[in-house]
Order: sequence, then structure tokens, then C-alpha cells
Amino acid sequence: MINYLANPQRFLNFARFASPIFMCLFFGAFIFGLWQGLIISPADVKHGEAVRIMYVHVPAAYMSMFCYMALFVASFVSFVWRHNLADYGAMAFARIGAVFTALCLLTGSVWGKTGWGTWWEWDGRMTSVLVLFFIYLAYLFIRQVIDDRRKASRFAAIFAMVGVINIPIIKFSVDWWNSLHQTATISKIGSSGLETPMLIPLLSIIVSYMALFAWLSVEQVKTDIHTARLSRKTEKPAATITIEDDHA
Amino acid sequence: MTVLLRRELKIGLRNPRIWLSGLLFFLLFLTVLAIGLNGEAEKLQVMAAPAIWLALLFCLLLTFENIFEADIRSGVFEQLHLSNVSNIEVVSAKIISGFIVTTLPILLAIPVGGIFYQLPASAISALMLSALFGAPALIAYSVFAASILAGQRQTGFIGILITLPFLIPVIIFALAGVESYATEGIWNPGFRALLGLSMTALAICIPASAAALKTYLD
Repeated sequence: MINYLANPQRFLNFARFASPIFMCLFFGAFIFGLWQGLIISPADVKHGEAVRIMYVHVPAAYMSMFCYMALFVASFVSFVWRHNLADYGAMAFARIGAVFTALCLLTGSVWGKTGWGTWWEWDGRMTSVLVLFFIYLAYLFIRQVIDDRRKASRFAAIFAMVGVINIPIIKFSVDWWNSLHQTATISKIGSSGLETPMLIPLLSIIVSYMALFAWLSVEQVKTDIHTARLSRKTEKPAATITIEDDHA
Repeated sequence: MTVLLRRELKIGLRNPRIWLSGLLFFLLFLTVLAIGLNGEAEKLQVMAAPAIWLALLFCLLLTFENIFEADIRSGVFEQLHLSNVSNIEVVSAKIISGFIVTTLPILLAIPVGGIFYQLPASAISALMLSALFGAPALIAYSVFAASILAGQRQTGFIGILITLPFLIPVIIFALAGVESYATEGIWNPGFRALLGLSMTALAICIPASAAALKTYLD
């Protein structure tokens, strides 16, 4: 499958029918999930109506991790086999991942205000997601700063691979740091497991986010292939010269 | 390797600017912060450990940010590459010499910082130990950032942006170790984790920096 798609032309053929499918899947699952989440599912005992923030927040948190793993795999492939498509993919995954992480932080902040009465708390989870966001930004910055695109992609791939080793360490250390300080006792979400009416919207939003991720990255890679082709094509046709002999 | 190391050390000793600038930055940072805290002893003692650690961190990040620049500009770096010296050796020599030339003076200046912040002797020794155990990690990640940005002109804040996320665990464990030094002694969990992090950082960063330098040479 991966080998098959590694060819840009085959990838374009694949994208022609895969992209609309992902798009429909995204809109379908998203609208279904929102309808389930906002209208059908009950309000929570503890959080009240604010629990509905969960249906955008938790999937975004999940996607922030998922995108980084995708970024790592793509970086590894592009570093080892120097494959362009993997590199385009890495770039797309990093952008999408950064947006999902920002979404996770923002919705989490809003939920925190209603749930815990504070916009921000130096809790282990929040801190590690914030650090993940910074790592995404650093990755994107590296690609922006280095002029030579080919070199930038290799440097960025090295950075992403160093990052993947560090993320568990950071997460572990931040959790440890927080439990050491005992700042605030925080009620964790869904301690008793989720009820089915809440699980349905949550899962369908996760599916829709995955579809959105697939759709946007396929589109991004497609755009990058076309851009690369355009830049290779010469702007004007080669100069021709005709010599006319008028003096005769 | 020893030749490379000897060369780096000689350069360091003959240009006092290299280590003096870091040292001065360290002391100035602490002075300005102490003035900002109005010089009140209680506030200073609370702030001392994080302040000294932040000073150390920025000091090392800034000194190591363009550690490869001089060699690249003078062509030494390409010459080393042509004479089949592996990048791993170049990076290791830079890390060891950096530790000796720029970091040791700062470690020795920590007592001065401790006196600025009215710290007792035991707290000062805890800070020195934490700096000694944490310095390899700081240096390793700074060298990694420097090797990614080698030969780039406008880097600005990127070096700091690349390294800081990775240094968060180092700061957490160093400060935890300093806190529990008084009760649990030198082999408290914080210091052990810090040493482990330093080893991990060296193990990750030396090959990663070597790969980045190879990319630069391509």
C-alpha cells in the first residue's frame, strides 16, 4: 500500500477518488457527532451542559498525539529513504497537528474555566500538551528558517525524531513534577467510564477528525506535488530563431 | 579525537573572551534579577535555585549557539571532513571542550551567585551538584541546535526555541533534586533522574548532531 502510493503519479490517481471520500466522511461524521453531542446526549451530573466541550476537546487531544506519531513515521521515511512524498506528508502532518494541539489547548482552557474556575492550571497534562505545541512550532520554524528546502526537510526530520524520544520523557517528568507539588486536586474526566450516549458522539467526532486529517493531508501533498512540478516546468518555451534571407 | 580536543582547549584558553562572556552574562543576569527583587533576603532565597538554573541555561544556550560558526567560516570544518574525521568525533570534542572551557568557570561562579542570593553553604553545594549533573544535557541539546542551524545566517530565537522544550525535564529534575538534597543527600531521586537525563541526552544528541552536520556538508 505505502510502496504503491510512493509514486507521485499513482498518489495523484489515488487522491482523485480518496480525497472526496475523506471529505464526505468528515462532514458526515462531524455533523452526526455534533447532532448527537449537542442535542441527543444528556448533560453531565458534575459538569452540566459544559460537558459538551468534551466532544471537541478530547478528540483534538487525541489527534495532537496521533499527528505527532504520523509526523515521526513520515520523518523517518523521508530521512532514511529520502522520499519526497514522505517529506510533503511530514510538513502537512506538522501543520495539522499544530492546529489540533492549539484547538485542544483552547477548548481545554474554556472547559477549565467552567469546570475548575480557572483558565489555566499547571497540571501535568496541560503542561505536556503545551510543550507538545511548542515542539510543533519549533519544527515548523526550522522548516521556515532554513532556505534550502531539501536540507530543511532533513534537519526537520532529525528534529522530529529527537522529539519523539523526548515526548515520553517530558510527559513523565511533568506528571512527576505536578504530583510532587500537589497544586490542586483535579477531578479527572470520566472516572467511572463513559455512558453509551456520550460515547457515540465522542467516537464519531474522533472518526471525523481522522477523516479531516486524511483529507487535508492528501490535499496538501497533492498541492505540493503540483507546486514541485510547476517549478520544474520552464516558464516560456525555448527560444526559436528563424533566419530569413531578405536580400535576395 | 585527542588532537581535536587539544585544539579546542587551546583555542579556548587563548581566547578568554569565549569563557569570560558566558561568565559575565551569568553574573549580570543574577545581579539584574536580584535588583528586580529589591534585594530582600526572603524573596532572594526563594528565587535562588530557579534563578541560578535559568541563568545557567541561557548562558549555555547562548554560548553554544554558534559553536560551529568559526570552524565553518575558516574552512577547518570542511578540512576535517576531507581528512575523514567522523562527525561523531567532532561533536564529541566540541561537547567535552565546551564543558571544560565554558561550563566549568560558570560552575565555579555558582558560589558567588549563592552569596548574592544569601544562600547557606549546603544549598550552594546542592546547586553546584545539580549544575554539574545537568550540564551535559544542557550542552548536548545546545550543540544539537547549533548543528541544525550551522551555516544559517538569520537564526534569531530558533536555537532557544528548539532546545527549551527538551530542557523542561532537566529543569524539573534539577530543582527537585536541589530541594531534596538537604534531606536525602546526593543520591536522591531528583539527581539520579537528572544524571539519567544527561546520559540520554548525550546518547541522542551526539549521533543526531553528527547527522545534522553531515546534512550541512551535503
